[in-house]
Amino acid sequence: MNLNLNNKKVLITGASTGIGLTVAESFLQEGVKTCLVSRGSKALFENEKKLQDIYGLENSFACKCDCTNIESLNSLKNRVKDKWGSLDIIIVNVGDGRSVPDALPDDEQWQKTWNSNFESALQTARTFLPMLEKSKGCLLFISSIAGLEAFGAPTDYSTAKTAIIALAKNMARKLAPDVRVNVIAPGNVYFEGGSWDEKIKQDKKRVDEIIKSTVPMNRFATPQEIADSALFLCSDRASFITGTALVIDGGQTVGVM
Amino acid sequence: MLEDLFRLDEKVIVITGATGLLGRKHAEAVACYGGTPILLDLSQKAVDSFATPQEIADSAVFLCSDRAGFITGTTLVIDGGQTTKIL
Repeated sequence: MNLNLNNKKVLITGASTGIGLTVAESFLQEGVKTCLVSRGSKALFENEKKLQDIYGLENSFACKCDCTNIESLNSLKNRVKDKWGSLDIIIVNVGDGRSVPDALPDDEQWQKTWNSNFESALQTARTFLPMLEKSKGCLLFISSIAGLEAFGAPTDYSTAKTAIIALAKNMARKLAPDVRVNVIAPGNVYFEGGSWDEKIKQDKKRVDEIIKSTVPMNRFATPQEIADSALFLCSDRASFITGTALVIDGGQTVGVM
Repeated sequence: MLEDLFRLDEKVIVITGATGLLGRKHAEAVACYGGTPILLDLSQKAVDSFATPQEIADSAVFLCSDRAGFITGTTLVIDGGQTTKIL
């Protein structure tokens, strides 16, 4: 399937590891110029170098940015404008599922989770929307199945991920037909250094039981499986898809409608 | 049996004023019974608000490919933002 993405320009937040990094590499494989963004870590610049070595120095660059901070986002936007002049696709991937099991987390914890999962997504979309409107581009949020069903994930995280879906749906209706806005809601994704990797190191038997009893496909998703859908949804092959949440969970969610 | 009477397979049907309420319903009915509606309207923008069969086919190919290897039990809505339900 020809995705026709060659020479587009994509910005991916939360791109130093895991899903974001795999999405970045997958876009590079399709000939897309790629900007990797993260709060800044050794991993971001190490991976920038690795990708530049493989896909060419001119095809990707990395930027430190705290996506909860508007000044930091504005600096990022200026950098992208200076470098490329335009932008076609944004993958809003920043998120952190670590919180507490309380029914209602205290205010400090709630704000922390809300900022890292929802506020960061909102401000990233707000900052780059004018560029996407200009290019008639594509905005893709990475939410979670925790935003679709209350199956025991932290309350603050689940609420923030639901809010992302509502934000995307409302934006999609109002921005059509110029900008498409979609969501991917992944289930359990395993990658080295990720939260499931940590849980497996703590208690592999328990994790095996959880997966076996909750995921009909009886395994984790790979970051590549999320990246493949991201490529598809941002391509011309998905030109009539907007305001949609694509669930990639191996059959885990149980809601019928 | 009754449905067979209405089959429009291999029929091409031209619908004028196709993006108005009635025209749209006619077009949907033609497609539903296997026909190929050709939509005519003064407004190109309104005509573009319909999906093409190719747009549905592209998603079908993707969902059946190895690249959708962890997608099962999922409904992929392809509606240009028409549905209003959030969850």
